[in-house]
Amino acid sequence: MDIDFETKLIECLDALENHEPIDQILARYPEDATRLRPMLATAGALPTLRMEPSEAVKAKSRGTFLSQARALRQTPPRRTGFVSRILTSFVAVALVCIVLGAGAVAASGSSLPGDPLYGLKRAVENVRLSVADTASRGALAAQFERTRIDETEALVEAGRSTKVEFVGTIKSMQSDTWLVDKVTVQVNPATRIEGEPAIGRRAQVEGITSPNGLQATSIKIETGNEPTPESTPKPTATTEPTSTPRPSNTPAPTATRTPVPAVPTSESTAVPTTAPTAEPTQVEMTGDVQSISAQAWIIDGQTIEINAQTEINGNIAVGQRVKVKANRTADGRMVAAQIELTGNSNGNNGNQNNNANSNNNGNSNDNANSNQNTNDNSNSNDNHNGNSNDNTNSNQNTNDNSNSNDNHNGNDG
Amino acid sequence: MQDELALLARARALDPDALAQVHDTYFAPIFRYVAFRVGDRHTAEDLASEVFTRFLSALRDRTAPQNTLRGWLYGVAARVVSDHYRKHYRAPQVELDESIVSSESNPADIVETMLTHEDLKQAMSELTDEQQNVISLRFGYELPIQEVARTLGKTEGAIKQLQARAIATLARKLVPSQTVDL
Repeated sequence: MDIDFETKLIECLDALENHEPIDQILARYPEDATRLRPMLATAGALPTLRMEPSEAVKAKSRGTFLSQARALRQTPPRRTGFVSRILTSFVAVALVCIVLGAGAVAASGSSLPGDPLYGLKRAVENVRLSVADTASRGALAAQFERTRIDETEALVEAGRSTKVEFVGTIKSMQSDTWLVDKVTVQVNPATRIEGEPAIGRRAQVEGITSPNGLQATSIKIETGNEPTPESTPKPTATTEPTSTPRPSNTPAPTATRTPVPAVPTSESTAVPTTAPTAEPTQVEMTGDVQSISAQAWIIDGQTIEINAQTEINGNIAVGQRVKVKANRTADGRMVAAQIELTGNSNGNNGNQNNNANSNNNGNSNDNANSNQNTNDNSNSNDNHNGNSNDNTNSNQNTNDNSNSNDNHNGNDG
Repeated sequence: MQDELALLARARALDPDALAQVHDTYFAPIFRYVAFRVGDRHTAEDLASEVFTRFLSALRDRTAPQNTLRGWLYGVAARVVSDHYRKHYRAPQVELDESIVSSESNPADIVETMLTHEDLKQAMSELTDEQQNVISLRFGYELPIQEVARTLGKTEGAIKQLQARAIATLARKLVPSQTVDL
């Protein structure tokens, strides 16, 4: 079929569609009429060759269709339950690993909240946490906690605005600007604050990043995060209750009393020394020793007076860095209570340093106190302990029996 | 168009009235289209029903069309037909010549009065898949050229050319050879 003829046929079919009679159309193409006629006849016949569905068939199909639809309506939509959601995240991570390869997962590692791969990063973290054994889970969780802080910091530096949350320790608190870990947190009246914020406490912070830091929407202070490692001795104090039944038995009281007088002897020396220094405020500083004399030392330009009660631990020379605990008197003089080298210099000094450390802790340092007693009987440290430890001294005594061995060994080594 | 969108939205919610309306509106055109393609009433009935069952599956799986129900249903019908042909191998037609009517009669009369569905079925099998689609959409689904073009993603000119060639081939098969001189 040549192009010219095809064009004519197309024109004829157009005319036919406009309901022009076949003869009238063919009259315009006398030279091709014979060829065109059967084609136009075919085109005209096609609608008549069309099959029509019977009403019965139509009704049957309709009935089937609508009953299928009814069944579909009664089938609840596929639920995604809790378990399947977890499974989905596992499967999703696995699939992404397979499809995109480990490269994508690695690439997601540096992604930030709001990035396309960030969801993958968090999913990978969740999977890692859920497959970690109990021993390493804590470290892993802490690592991810750091990651949240780093991400927030990176978003702030990039000046991006994204919703984030992280957990960190409150480092400083001005009226409207807090520092939580290394993140500057803007607090405004709309910020929801739960719990009692204080420097050193851990806070869960939620907010939107901005070039000026994180605009906090909510800050939740974690409870019970005062570090109290000293609480461990308390279990040893439970030895006391076991001894208390004994007083109720008549022979026992004499037995429990005997250790007690041992403490008052050290306590008696404590009272006079601490009494005079009780009014001044105690300060602590670290600095380089610039001069040493019998009456006063100069540490970082500051004159520190020395007296009979001053405890000097170790052979300290000019130029060394020391930690000073001093009492500021009412007239502004600094009287050293204790001077020690920062850092452990040698084994001998080490022992003494340990003792010294426990002095300031007073109330809760039952354990530490008992160390001292066993280590060196004549130590002047006792003085400080005596001051506040009246109640706990009895513990000390009972502890001595069990604790002294351990501590002694440790120090010797 | 606006009506179709509203109808579709209700159908997605499995509204029984809307679904009944979809079936009532489209069953006949779908049947005619399928009948053109398969040339057999019984098969066309089954396949047309199948198109609507697939429509429900699409609603459940949320892959149902977003706007043009008409075009989407045609697409499903085309797939149903090609699936049917994949499943049922068609035996080659041998009695083609005997079925053609005698040469004495006026060709137009022959075409109009004597052609049977069986003739058409055999003639249609001579067309390319694309040509079959155009003829079935034009004369079965009753879409104007413009809509066929949109449905198949071609220009109107291309559809007119496909249609012209298809009709020339059909005429050659349906009308005695000596009267059709190409």
